[in-house]
Amino acid sequence: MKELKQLVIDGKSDRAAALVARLLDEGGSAEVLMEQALIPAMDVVGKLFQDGEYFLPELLVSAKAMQKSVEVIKQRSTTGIVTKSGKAVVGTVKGDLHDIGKNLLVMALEGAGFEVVDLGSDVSTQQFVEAAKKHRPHVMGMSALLSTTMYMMKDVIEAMDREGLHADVKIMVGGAPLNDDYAKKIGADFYGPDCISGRDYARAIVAHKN
Amino acid sequence: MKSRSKGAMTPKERIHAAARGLPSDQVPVFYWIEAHTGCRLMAEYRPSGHWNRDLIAKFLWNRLKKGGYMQAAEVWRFLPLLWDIHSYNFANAYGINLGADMILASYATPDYSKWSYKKGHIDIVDIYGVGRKIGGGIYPDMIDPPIKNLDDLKNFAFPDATKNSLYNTFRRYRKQYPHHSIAAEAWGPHDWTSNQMIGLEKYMTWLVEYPDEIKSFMDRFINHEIEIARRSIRAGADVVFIYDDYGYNNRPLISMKMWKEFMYPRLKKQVDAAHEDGALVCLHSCGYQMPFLEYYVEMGIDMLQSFQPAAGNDFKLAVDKYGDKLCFVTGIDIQRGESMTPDEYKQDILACYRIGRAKNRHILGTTHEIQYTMPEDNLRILFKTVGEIQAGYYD
Repeated sequence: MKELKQLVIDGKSDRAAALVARLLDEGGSAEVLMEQALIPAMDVVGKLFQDGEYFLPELLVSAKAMQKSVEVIKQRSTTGIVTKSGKAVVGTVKGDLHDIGKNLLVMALEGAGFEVVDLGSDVSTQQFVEAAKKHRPHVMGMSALLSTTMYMMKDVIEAMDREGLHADVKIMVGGAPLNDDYAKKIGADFYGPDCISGRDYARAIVAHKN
Repeated sequence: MKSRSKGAMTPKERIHAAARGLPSDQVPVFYWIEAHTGCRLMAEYRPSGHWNRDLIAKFLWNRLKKGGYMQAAEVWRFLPLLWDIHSYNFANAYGINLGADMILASYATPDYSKWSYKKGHIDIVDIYGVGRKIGGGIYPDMIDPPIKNLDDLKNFAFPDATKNSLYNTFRRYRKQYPHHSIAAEAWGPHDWTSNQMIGLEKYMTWLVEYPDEIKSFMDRFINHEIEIARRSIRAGADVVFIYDDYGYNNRPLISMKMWKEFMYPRLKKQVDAAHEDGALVCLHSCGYQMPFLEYYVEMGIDMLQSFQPAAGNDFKLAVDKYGDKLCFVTGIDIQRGESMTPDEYKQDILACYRIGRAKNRHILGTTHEIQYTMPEDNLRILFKTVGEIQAGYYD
């Protein structure tokens, strides 16, 4: 477990995936691998990122190692992946095709064991609302890179309010042109300056609900 | 700090004086104007003085407005961009009507070699083979990078940059505006490679997994960019304006160690080449810049554009520490300006002007392209305040 954790922290995706396959062959359980190696590894990576020791390249290679490991578990496990984390719906708002921020949040949430519904980029208000109705997530994350598109977040939040969905779904927003003041102004519950703070907020919401 | 009477210098002389830390008759100004904003300004703020251009601008802006801006049909969001690249970057040149001292222009206009309109959607492929889409926004964003694997990275053939006609924009503007500074767009090692050619996520992982292959590609790319800059200078540009975003909110995108290994030597090579050809270098880099400043000074960069406060940059601290060696092109906050009241915006611009004028190395400039979403009152106060500064009201 310790070796697997370190391989993910170091971003050695092929070696991590191979080790996961071996551990499963030897009778290891998917849940134990997730709970004792992969999720804790991404916690360490998140801490290194927040401490300024890791940057986007290191974060991404670790997330890749995590994803490859999870893929192996999904392929070989008959029970699937069962984690105690929550559910999230994530997307980049309409008009914005930039998906790096959104993808980083998806990776961070998946790395924390969340079930993530990734709506992609250029997502309309209606698509966000329908996804909230269908999937009943704990949190909804919206991303925007452009100052011209961040206004769409307000539309989505107003639509969530109108539909009575906002009470049960916390809304977090992030992206280069945003800040805490803007998030408050449009009625978002949380502004995440980076994907790790978004993940931590989502975790806190789930912990509070449980 | 002014030692010469107003109007004693040409706009170009002002820009060059600020870059070298020499006194000037008034603070030089740089407006970076996005195409849709250009249409809006010509239609609603100040006509360009060319009846045909103003007519087109008014028509395009009204169509966009009528369609609900972002909700407007894709073609109406695309046409201002197409017009901009087919009319020698009209939006930035229009900045001169507003009092700007420097024009920013691009080589290879028009640079969308192929575009098609099918069932209401625009698909674009530029001369680098980058697939683009307008989507729901106003920018032709990359959706299909030409480099998908390591073989593509190794074998990528850059477009021929030697054709004289690719540099007509600079010839035209040098003739039309003999006394203004003309900045030629170029790209640094990181930005175009990542966001357009490979895609940011793949590029970031390749920096770790395939460093030698990435460096080799960057070397070829930088040679290509140096060739473009050289020919742009020969055609009339006096500033090489290198885009390379190294930061985001409050931190660099990659570690300083990695930046020094991948970016520093290649950026320095570009800077040296531009200086050898007699041009100034202005680096545009978005996001957090504080840790890079000492290295920009070390490699001889003349001007740094954007320097956004919203990303965590401290203008006062930067001027105190590096204002004797590096010229800052900043002070008109585009990111925060949209949400300020007009009076707050005016005071913010004045505060930046006062910080910058403590040293001579300051060009009062926008921290990004002026966006069409800027409230009308803020737009008016922006140009009014800068005009008053230029006229000496606050000296």
